[in-house]
Amino acid sequence: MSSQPEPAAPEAMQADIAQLCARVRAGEEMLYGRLLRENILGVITCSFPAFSRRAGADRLAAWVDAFVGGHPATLPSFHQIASEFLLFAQSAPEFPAALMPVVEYEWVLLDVEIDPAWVKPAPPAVCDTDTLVTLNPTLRLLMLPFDATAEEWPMQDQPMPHAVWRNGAHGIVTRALSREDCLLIDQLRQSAPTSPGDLARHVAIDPPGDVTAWIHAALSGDLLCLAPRKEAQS
Amino acid sequence: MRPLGNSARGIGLRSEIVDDLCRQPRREDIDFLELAPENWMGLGGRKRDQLDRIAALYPLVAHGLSLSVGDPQPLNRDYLADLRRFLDDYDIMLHSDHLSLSRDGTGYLYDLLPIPCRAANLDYLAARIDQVQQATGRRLVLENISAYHDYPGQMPEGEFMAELARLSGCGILLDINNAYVNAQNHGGDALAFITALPGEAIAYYHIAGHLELEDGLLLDTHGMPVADAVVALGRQVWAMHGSRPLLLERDNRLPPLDALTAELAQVHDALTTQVPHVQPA
Repeated sequence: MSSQPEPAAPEAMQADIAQLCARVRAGEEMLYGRLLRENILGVITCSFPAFSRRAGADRLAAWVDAFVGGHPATLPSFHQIASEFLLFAQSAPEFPAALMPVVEYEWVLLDVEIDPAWVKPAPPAVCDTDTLVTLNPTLRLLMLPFDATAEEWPMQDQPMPHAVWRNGAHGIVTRALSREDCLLIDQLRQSAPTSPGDLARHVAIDPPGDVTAWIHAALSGDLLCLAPRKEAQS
Repeated sequence: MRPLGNSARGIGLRSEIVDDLCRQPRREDIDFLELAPENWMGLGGRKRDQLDRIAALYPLVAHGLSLSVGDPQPLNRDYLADLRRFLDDYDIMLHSDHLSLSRDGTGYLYDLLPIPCRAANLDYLAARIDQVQQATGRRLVLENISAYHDYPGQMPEGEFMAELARLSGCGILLDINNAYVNAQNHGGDALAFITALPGEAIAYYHIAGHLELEDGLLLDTHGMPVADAVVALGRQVWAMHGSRPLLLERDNRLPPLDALTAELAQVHDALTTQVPHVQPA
């Protein structure tokens, strides 16, 4: 990377640009202001469909206007507008608390979809006592006030733990987690690649033999992956 | 990557056509694909798989959207580092972006805004271009954008770009539709703009459709077939500057892939049949 100092723009150039951008942000530069808002709205409705439906057109338009008006976006790419909008929502004091988990969950779906990690599906019937397994590298865990695996995402009395990951066929999987799921996943998060036997020794679930069945099921759904040998030995 | 021949024809790598391109063997009617690196770099999953497959079939050209070379903020070094890694990984030598800005002191605006084309700004821009070229390890090629704002006291855009290319060594991506749209919207002369450009700096051409609004304003939407008047201007470009790789831009209302490549072939034929063949001495 270059070590040369950054050149400074002429003052008149800086002033011209600041003035134009301020007008665009304020919606006074009508064409640019409109096109920019349409672009942002398009990305948000496409990235966050459930959130957009629940928010309604008027509130969405107001948030887009506030986002364009003053959000300090630091991520350059168009697809990162979704991440910037999430940051905007999280920092907006008037943003409705009920909609926050919806936009956060939909952002996680996007984030998992494009996660650069490589997911290698396990071949069928490979799980034996020596098999070393690890969590799917795209796995995200989150607490949601609704059941994201049911239609219309019904609200629950208590927040529910969920797991989201990308499988080897690039599908995005959401699963509501049981207590046993949480215990086993938590143990796997804390440990190096581990075998079914070690996992059963560390996590008390009833009956203990169910750990192997759980690992079988988790491997077939790519919640777990086989640990690479080199990593397993290190 | 082998350099593209001057008769090469390409289209943009849009998500709408990715599945088709992945399913088919290499098509004879597409010589290269142009992609926006921001839409692909650093991504995994299906998109990464698809890009790997496509990169094995077609030469790729990168046409960035987020460089914002014309803004007064420090260059985004993280973006440039990511970009260079991506260009290296996919063996992409031709890297273009826009002579524009997309940031202010607040942050990114996610649009291409015009820069003030004044002589006093040339040295600054040339220094910026130099830093970008060092960071990416490649010549930067800059496109003339469609502009919907006029700053007072500007130089003619063609002269400005020519001088910038001379000072910085950057290349020029001549967007024929943008030249037409700007001339119509601002009362300029598209041919004068094109004439002012140094032919040796022109790396490739873009051509696209535009939309005419009710008030007569032309919008560079990339959502329509190429207008006859733009094809006519393209013939003059070919006669003046000669053949270059040609990219048909279509970002909205994409027709099926076969129809898109048919339009590319048709436009390319219309442009190139006007060029007399010069026999070597």
